[in-house]
Amino acid sequence: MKWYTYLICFVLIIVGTFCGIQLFKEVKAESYINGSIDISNKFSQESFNYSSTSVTFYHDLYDETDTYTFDKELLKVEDYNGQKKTYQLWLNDFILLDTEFNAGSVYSSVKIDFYDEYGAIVCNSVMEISIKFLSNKSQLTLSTKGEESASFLEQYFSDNGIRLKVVEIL
Amino acid sequence: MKVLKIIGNCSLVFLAIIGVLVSIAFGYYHFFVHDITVGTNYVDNQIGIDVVEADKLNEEQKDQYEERYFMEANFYSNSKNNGIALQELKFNYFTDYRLTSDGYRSTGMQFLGDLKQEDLTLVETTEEHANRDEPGGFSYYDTTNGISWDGNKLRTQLNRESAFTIKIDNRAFQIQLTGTYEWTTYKRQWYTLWIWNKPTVHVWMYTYLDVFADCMQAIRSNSAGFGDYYVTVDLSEYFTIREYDIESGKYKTDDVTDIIKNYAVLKFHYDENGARNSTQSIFKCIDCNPSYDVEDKNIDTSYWQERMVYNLTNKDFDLRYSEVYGGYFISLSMDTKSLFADMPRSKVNVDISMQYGDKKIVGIDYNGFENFEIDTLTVEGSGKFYMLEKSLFNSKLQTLKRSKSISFEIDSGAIDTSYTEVIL
Repeated sequence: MKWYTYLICFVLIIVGTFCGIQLFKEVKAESYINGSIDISNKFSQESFNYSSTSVTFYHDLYDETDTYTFDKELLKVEDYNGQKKTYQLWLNDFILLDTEFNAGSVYSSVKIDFYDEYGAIVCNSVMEISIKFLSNKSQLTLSTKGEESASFLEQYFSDNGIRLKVVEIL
Repeated sequence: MKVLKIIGNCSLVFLAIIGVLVSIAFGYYHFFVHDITVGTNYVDNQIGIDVVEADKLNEEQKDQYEERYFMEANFYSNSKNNGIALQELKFNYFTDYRLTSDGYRSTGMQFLGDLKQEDLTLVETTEEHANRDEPGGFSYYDTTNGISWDGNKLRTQLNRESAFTIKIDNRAFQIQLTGTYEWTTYKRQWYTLWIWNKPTVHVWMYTYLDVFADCMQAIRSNSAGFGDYYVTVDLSEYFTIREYDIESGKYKTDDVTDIIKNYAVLKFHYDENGARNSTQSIFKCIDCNPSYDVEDKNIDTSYWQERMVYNLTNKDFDLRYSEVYGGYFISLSMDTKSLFADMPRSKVNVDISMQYGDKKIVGIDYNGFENFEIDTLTVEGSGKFYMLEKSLFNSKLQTLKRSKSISFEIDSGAIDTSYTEVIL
């Protein structure tokens, strides 16, 4: 055989090897699924539970009552029924006693005193809490009067976070 | 020797013939027979495989551990014009293939303003620039613990060379931005004797700017509107996902599957307000400034401690009628007392009115308010007011206020602390 015949043979063998490997891969290839995604439970929750690391109050430019408000639209709550069931409202580790539980809403008021390093009160904050359980969402509103109160509450929630929950008493 | 040469030559020719046949078979299969294979990767929650099961976590831990999606976004649209428009995108991933919580890492990008897809222009860049450079006009942040963020140069770069380890089905995968967008333009050109439209293929190599703009568009166009929601986005056009092979210790490239689809959960917060201060950022910084605030605050909000104030009134008490004293004694239930005892940062004030509807309150019952702290006790009315044994025991009462016409009859052992008495 001539030298170029050897060359051609080698080239054909190498090409054949690569084609064989690729053919093997393609013949063996199968469709696959890795993992799964289930966010179906992310569109509603059984009971009201809101937590965050901070709260920021906004003052409406056209508001003349000096009210600072934090509004949040949240997932709808499936089984709240203030007419037939009994609930407690908790803010962080504190139960809020003066709470009004209605058919589809919760209203409460919370008073927080802030002390300086000498033990003197530097700010009395009163915060109104409103939770409305609507057919497609829940609406949380926190409001307070005055910029100073809003600022102290923002600082408090920045330091401690906010964990607000409505707990059914069984 | 000659026989061996003949055998060798025959073998070579035989192998060459097989090579030709295999090549023909491959060509035939590849171009005519090939069935379509589809690979689908779902990128779900990126919680470390060592994190305890959800039902063993308390509420705070759940917030911290349960949700860690590959992509999280924050979008303050400033529709109400009460702050600044702010857009943020964060990627949660692992630093190694063990997928444990000590390998958590997050990297994110932040844009001050409202970046829209239509603002992007297709401009060709060199491969080197596209791979190495990060999109300009953004602030970048990096963290391992999710609490403290840094935005300096010693952080993970968000460019096409970055490959992140993620978890799918509790197995390690690597995700990398590799996608390109190609388009062709034609230019009329003389070619020997005729005019033809010479095609030029342009390649746009996607950067994180494109991913960012698309995610913001997904948020902007979500059907639920403002709020905290989740959507599943298709990242197939942008990212390549490779599986980690335990045996070889390498991430495998899939060059066989015809169509590979990559889906991931995008968790986002979409707000109609503008961002006001850095606490609203998922990086706790705006423009690399942890103290960012749109307003110059002149209110000093530093404080030592806070107290949650409770004002208890007659409606909160249990009543017990006493024929001997001719009226009702008040007390708190055991549950309520232990509730306050377990809330050390509460400040409890008790306001008692001696006339409660048609009921006459004559005093505080045995053990009525014992074992939780009371700041101020106020009694209003007239006549004798009794405090029975241990009624205020271990209450650390600070101030006792009473109407001028009330006289206290305090049993020995009713109270064990000194307090200030104030006449109203």
